[in-house]
Amino acid sequence: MSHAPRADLEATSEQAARERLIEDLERRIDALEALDDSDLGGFTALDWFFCVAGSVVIPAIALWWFAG
Amino acid sequence: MGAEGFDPGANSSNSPGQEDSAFGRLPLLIEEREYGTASAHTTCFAYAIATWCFLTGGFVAELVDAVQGTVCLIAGNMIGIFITTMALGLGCQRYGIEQMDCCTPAFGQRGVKIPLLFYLINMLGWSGLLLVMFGNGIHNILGTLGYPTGEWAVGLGVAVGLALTLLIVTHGVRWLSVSNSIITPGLGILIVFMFYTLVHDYGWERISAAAPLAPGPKPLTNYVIAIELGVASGISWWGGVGFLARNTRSARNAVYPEIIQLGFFGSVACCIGLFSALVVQTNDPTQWMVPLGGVFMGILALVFVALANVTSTAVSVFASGLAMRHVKLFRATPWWQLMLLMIIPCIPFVFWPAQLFRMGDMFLAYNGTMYAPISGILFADYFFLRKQKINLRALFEADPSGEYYYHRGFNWLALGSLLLGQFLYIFLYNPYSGKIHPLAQYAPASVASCVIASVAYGVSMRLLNRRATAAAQASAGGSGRRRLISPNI
Repeated sequence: MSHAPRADLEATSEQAARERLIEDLERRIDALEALDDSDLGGFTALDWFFCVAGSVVIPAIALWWFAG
Repeated sequence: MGAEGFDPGANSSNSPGQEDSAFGRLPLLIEEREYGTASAHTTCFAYAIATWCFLTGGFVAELVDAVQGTVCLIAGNMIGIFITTMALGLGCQRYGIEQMDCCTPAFGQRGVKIPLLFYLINMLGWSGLLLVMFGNGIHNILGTLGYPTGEWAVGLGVAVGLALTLLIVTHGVRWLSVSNSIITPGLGILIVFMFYTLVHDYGWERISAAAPLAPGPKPLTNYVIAIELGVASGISWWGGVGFLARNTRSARNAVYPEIIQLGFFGSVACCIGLFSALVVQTNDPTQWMVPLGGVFMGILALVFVALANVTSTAVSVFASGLAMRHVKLFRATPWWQLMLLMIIPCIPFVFWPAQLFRMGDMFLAYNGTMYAPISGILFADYFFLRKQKINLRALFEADPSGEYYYHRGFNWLALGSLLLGQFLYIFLYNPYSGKIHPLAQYAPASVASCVIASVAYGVSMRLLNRRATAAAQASAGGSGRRRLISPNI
């Protein structure tokens, strides 16, 4: 039996798998773009304040204080 | 860094599409994301408590004492985590994408390979250092048991560690999940035990009085470099931040666990390493265990740390392999071949373990050189240029008509800003020579590099790339129903 039909079969199978992957990707893109930001939880100005104060301002003050 | 809490064996019983989404590049839908608030915090805690904390603490112990070292590690790490987390975390969470895809709007379809290269250097560099720790651990265990060996044993240990890593990542990914679930809490117990021993046997007075291991002649210079190592330590989590954030269901869960666990508790673990290095007077973590815990506990701790190092290395190598799927050449490469390819850059650690280990603090600082400007560019791109709206379809569009194709796949403005940030970093602090510019005492090199790269990118894109600015504003409404022409997946 020649190898050509088996190679063709494998190529067809890989192509089909790739097409399914791309279809899945398109579906996910559509689903995620349809979401509102509120569906993924908000990150408000108050959150920014806490993060900046806790991660930047207070550490910077501590670094300056202990510089000696 | 940033992969020890990774659970590669999870979801393996799901359908192929779901498995692809978990471990490939497909965007994760909300229902597929694993982490709620509690699990995000515990996973980040598992990430944070890792043996590289010991290495970082040891590097800082060379420069400053316990008080200044604690401040540099905690404050520096918090700043570094903030720089890394905000744009990457919120962007990856909003769209369910991994970190390389989050870089594509800024760097372009082909330009994103530059951050990818940095990511690989980061992962494989840390892997090499951890494997040297593994080799040192074996060397010290044998010495403690009365079988002293030479440096050749360390190199042999690295080789054994590489072989074990390859075995795990090619055959037993499930083993990784199981070992993670044992090793992570065990490391937590070890750190608590070390802290107790330090306080009980040595006391804070002795710890705070211990001299740094090899400081330079100028105290302020030592302090500034120690700050830089702390910031770089936080920035080094770049590789893990996106992975976690992608798997969270809310924006707050993409940010607070990382800041609190990776930023604060991770740096506390580094401080344990700092104190241990100062009292034992060596920055090799495998030499702390016996003096701190006695022979029996010390050997047990060494064995445990050795296992943890191999596990961490396996996860880093696994994650590197996943990242390589971004490169078209490797998309269809058999997994075992890809893993072998990832192991090859670690081979120099077999032959020159001590020499390369001594460059560990330089490597840590170099992480700042790599990721600080990238983080600044992402910040400007995601928050100011795109107002937190990414064209998700364009991320996966390799056709030149795609919004993120730019000029031949590269956004030269981003790459130029990246280079500018790196030059500024080296100008302020050269990790290789240890030379610090006087200006660095006013702003750590990482912070300056991040800010300048961010400003340069933001201003140049506004002024010179009006097409991108207009497209970003148009994308605010979504990508429309246009189908992908040339998917890059």
